Amino acid sequence: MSKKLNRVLSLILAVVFGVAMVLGATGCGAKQDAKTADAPKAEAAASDNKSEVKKEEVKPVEIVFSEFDDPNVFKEDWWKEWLSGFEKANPNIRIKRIHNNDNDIRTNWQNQVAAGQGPDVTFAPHDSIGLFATAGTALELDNFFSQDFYSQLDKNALDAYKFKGKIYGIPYRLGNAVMLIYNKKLVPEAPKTMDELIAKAKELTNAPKQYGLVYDMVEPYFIMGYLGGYGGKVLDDDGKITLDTDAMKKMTQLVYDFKYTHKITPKEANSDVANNLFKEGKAAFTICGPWLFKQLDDAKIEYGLAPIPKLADGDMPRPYSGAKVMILNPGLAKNKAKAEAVKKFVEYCNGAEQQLKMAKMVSEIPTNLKALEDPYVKDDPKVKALSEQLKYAVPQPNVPEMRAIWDALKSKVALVMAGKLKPEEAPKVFQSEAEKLAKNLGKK
Amino acid sequence: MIDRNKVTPYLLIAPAVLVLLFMVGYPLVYGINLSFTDMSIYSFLNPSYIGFENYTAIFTDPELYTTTLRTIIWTLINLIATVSSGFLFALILNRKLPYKNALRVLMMLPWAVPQYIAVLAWRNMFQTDFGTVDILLNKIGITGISWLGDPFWTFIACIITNIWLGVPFMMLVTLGALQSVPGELYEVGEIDGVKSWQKHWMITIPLIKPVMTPAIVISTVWTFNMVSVIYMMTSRTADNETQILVSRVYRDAFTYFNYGKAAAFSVIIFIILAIFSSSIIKAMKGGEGVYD
Repeated sequence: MSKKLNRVLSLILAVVFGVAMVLGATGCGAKQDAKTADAPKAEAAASDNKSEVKKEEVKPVEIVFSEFDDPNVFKEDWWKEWLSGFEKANPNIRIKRIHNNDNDIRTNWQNQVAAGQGPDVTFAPHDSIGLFATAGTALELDNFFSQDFYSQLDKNALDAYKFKGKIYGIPYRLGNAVMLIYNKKLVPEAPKTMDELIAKAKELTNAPKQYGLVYDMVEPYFIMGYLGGYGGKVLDDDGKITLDTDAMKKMTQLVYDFKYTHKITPKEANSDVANNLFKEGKAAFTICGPWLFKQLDDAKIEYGLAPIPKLADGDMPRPYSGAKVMILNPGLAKNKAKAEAVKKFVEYCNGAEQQLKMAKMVSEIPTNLKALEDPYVKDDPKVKALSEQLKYAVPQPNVPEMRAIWDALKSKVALVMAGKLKPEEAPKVFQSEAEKLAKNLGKK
Repeated sequence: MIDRNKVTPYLLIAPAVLVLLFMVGYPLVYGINLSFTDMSIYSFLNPSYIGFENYTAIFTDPELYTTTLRTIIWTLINLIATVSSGFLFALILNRKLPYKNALRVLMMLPWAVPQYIAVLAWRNMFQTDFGTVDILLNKIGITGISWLGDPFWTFIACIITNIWLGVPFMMLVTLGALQSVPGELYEVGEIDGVKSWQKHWMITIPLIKPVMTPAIVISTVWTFNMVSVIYMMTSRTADNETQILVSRVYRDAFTYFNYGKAAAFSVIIFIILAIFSSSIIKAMKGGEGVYD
């Protein structure tokens, strides 16, 4: 072969590889959005026709929903059984389930819906509402369901997760607030104040064999309660980022002191480390949420639950609460047959019986008023403890800017905990970092 | 009349060209097109064209230059380490050794472990106090390194992990190339009085070059675009001090859903890599066969 041809070929090869690599990293998203501009209309129209035909022939309507629940808890068989009830009652509707992990559920939904496709319903963490509603990938639901349907649900929960005054997601499960979990062998009774907790934790720390307090020191979610307890908020009423505050300084100082002054925590701990230490009985206190209960039961640890205790120079900590919500595909607005089927499905999911079944799996709280009267909610000690903590919790803001706030806090609190940033100087850094990151959202 | 001899070759490559056009050409054009739009969550369903705005925004951001520099450092360190140690291990394995096959399998293990799991395992090993790395360091008296808390050390941790992941590939390619070098050449060299180290310089390296050049190019591109190691090592939120170009693209696209800007970033990375690849191939004359 000639030299020239060889050279040309290898050049082409190199370019192709280069392109493939870059696109491998970034293009997949792009590919899926290929049809953004005009395809949705055409497709919606097409499927509209199709479904009308279907109706005449009484062919079953297939609706697709995606969920993100822990597959170790919600197993395949559980879903099958849960769905079979609906399919039996509605023989001409078929349900297809897609599982996502909680990271992919947002990205996949965004890309697929933008391309005029995607599941008809998605279960999602409530903080996706702001993102989806802003992007136009969530159907506005105020008039989609009847008032009758809404009146069956807890109004407070419904209101808490509205976005700009409108409903985009139906909260079907509440919980997700972190609380104080203590090892009953080491601590017979929950402390009433943070000072008590610290004193007790100091007493019980014998690093690295035993620690007074362990918690996920990577994700700021676990410490946000202190900010609220000191009277701080991450956003003001106009939605501006407000991290450079006195309350933020106090919060940072508190977690800094846990590690450096009182020396009651490990030097570093992600959630695996923290949870394992607690499960092995090597920690007196941990701060975590209901998702840990099953692991603790399996590990046969005797544990008690309580709200995170009152801060010395502040109030009761106010951890973020989160709901799981059901969000609908905006394409449904143009597809009546499907919309009717989805309506039935969502109403089924939010009936007292089904909500309870689901909530029981993870010790969370249903939102159906009838379900709330159930002995499970009233008597189960875990649910009672969670309800107690929820009294002090605040719903996590769901504006898109939250992304920037989380990222800024995560990377900069890590600097504080590594001793590279002084707690008193930290709030200013948090603020400028969050503002810088928020620019990535592309708001004009 | 159509000249058959001229048409046939094109017909033969047509399927491959079609696949490439569909798999590479279309996304490429789409991506470039996207980079001139303002597609972000505020205009997700109806983005409009904004010309070079994304590009000017990227080029006027001072962080771009530090991130680019970090990316180059990242790529260079990884490349030098993987190529040199891959070459070294391959030379060792190419000799007569007891348990050679077992050793070969051992050396290739990092490649057999799924990257995702490997990085998570490394992340756990870098945990302060509870991780293997820290325990070993503590034993020899080095304490107080916060591998995952301090961005500088996190970056080092990423480099170590990536080298560990990258060596087997280089070793494998080099070993294959070494085995294709005919033994007679060394014998001839010996007769001509070539010294042992000269043998490598004058026989081995020129002969394995045609294989090594594409391997190095590919590995450079892979390293340059290695998003998973950094993404997972930093628990999904790389600090600005650990970010490389492609992890920024990933963040802009999939955390902030600013597809327009992320696409513009990708185009820039693509151009950098295209220039790099073509120039390195030219410089190493890697496209030429040894016997041309």
